[in-house]
Amino acid sequence: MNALELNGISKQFADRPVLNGIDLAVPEGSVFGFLGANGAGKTTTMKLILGLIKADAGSISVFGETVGFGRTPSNRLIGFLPDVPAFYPYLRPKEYLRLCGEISGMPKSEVQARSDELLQLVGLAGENRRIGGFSRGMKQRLGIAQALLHSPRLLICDEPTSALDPIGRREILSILEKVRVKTTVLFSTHILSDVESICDRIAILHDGKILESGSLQDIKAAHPTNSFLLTFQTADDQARFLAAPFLSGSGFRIETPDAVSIILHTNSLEQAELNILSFLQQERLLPRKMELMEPTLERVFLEVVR
Amino acid sequence: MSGFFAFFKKECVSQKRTYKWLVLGLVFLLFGILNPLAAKFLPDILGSILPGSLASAIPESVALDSWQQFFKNSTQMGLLLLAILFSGQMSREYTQGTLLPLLTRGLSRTSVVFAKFAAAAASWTVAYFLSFGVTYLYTLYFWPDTTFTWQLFLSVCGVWEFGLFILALALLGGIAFRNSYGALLLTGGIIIVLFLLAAIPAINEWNPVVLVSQNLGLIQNSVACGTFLAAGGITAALTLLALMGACILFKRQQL
Amino acid sequence: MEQLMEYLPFLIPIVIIEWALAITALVHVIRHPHYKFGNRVFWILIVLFVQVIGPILYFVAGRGDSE
Repeated sequence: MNALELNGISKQFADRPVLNGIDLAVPEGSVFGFLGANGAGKTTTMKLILGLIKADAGSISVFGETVGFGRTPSNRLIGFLPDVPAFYPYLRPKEYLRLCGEISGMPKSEVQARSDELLQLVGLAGENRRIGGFSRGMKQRLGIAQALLHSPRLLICDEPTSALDPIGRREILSILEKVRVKTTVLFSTHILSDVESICDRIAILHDGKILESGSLQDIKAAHPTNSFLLTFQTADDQARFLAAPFLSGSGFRIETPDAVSIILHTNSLEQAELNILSFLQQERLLPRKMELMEPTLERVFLEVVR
Repeated sequence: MSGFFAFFKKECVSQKRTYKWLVLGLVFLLFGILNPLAAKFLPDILGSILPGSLASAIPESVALDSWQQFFKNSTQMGLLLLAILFSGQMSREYTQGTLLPLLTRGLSRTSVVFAKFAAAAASWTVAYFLSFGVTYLYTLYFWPDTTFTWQLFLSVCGVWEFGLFILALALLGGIAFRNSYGALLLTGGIIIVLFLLAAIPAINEWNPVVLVSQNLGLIQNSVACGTFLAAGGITAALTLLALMGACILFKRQQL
Repeated sequence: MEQLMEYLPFLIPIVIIEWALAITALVHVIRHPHYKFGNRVFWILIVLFVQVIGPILYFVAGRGDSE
């Protein structure tokens, strides 16, 4: 079953279209990375899922329950972490979680037990300051605790790592890793390395459309790079290789990222490989390194949104 | 309903920790003491500094002077302070987005509006009647023949009800304009319009401003109780209307 | 002088309230260095020397949002 389904969702603000017929399916149990540049419409999509704003067209369902603006019983299944989680600065973390638990209609003892457990998980146990004195990262972690309080089946995080320093990011990612065992996670981001480290499925949102959606491996496989990286010992060797006659033929694109390296993009991998190897042998050139470049998510992303 | 009580409790903690209770409580307590004191001793002080012939012309102060002070301070500084203190309670939720996580977990928007109103109304009630109680006790002390008439009671309740009306307007304005200036502007604007309307004799009796302008008249029996009750009824209706409007508006807003 | 003695029992609570406001505000000004406008010295002067209105102004308009 899909934790979340969007069918043909469109939304425009004033006369500016933000989403243009979006289809999205998040299977239960996945960690789903929702990628897009700043302003691509990620936050809008999430607010639609939560019923905070009204879609112009299309339908949304969460675990089979339809979502509508202002009618959101499905929200009990969702935990939500806004991009900049805002808390009442005068409350203490435990008081805030108690407020959340009471609103969710949880029994007192359960709220108590859950909030202790979660504050432990996010590393805020024993933190009794008022939230106003918290750092960005601490607020983000409290935000996750808040989102997980009622044991939701789907956790939605809006750019959970964007505003954080590397240590804070690492902390958030490792919390999400721990959570995935029981909860489907959907998170939006423009930080591609975060996606690569924890997601198994992704969707790429660009100009109000989903350009690519599926498992990370499939998507990478669908975008082979067909690129070689050669690193030579000296700049002289690099120059000799660049003079190779087969390079002048069509079907090659050459980059020289530094004085001794060459990146070759090619249309036909096998032919290029033969050409390169025979040229190296013939010229008695020994590169320090030669490799078939892995398709990185960054490359896929740039290729897709181009 | 659990959402209402949870949010109401949060509002109370909010008021306490943002020093609203402190300011409201102490200021109204101060008014409570100052009202009878000013009424009692102002003639004495004037008498001691003015030459004898003028001094003897100053009438001896009476309990009514104390009530005059009470209504002047409550309806002017008191209501102004109330409006200012509670004008920002929606704008902060909007600008910081603090409501989002609570609304997404099922807090109804109606609960937000009514919990905020109830919490503010509770604080206003306590502060105002504290002020009244203190003034009453001092007045009784200075002028032992003071009696507690139900005209006085009605008059006091009128100001209280007008305070609730102001709180509802501030809430409506805060939701309509999403900032505290808008809330103050709407509240102030409507009250000014009501005072202007008070110049039209035909509808004068039904105007809510009767509740804050005819207080002494009621005590002295120059204004009929019926007038006060009519204005009270209208004010109650307008307060409910403002609250309902706030709910409807808030429900339609995209956050 | 005699009259002053007569007023004293009523003036004392007023003075206590004024100072309670001023001191609460002063403690807050000193412990929370962020203000919506103005700086620490400004608020200390306002809070201490403008009776009643000063502390109210601080709590309503000057107090920074974070704790």
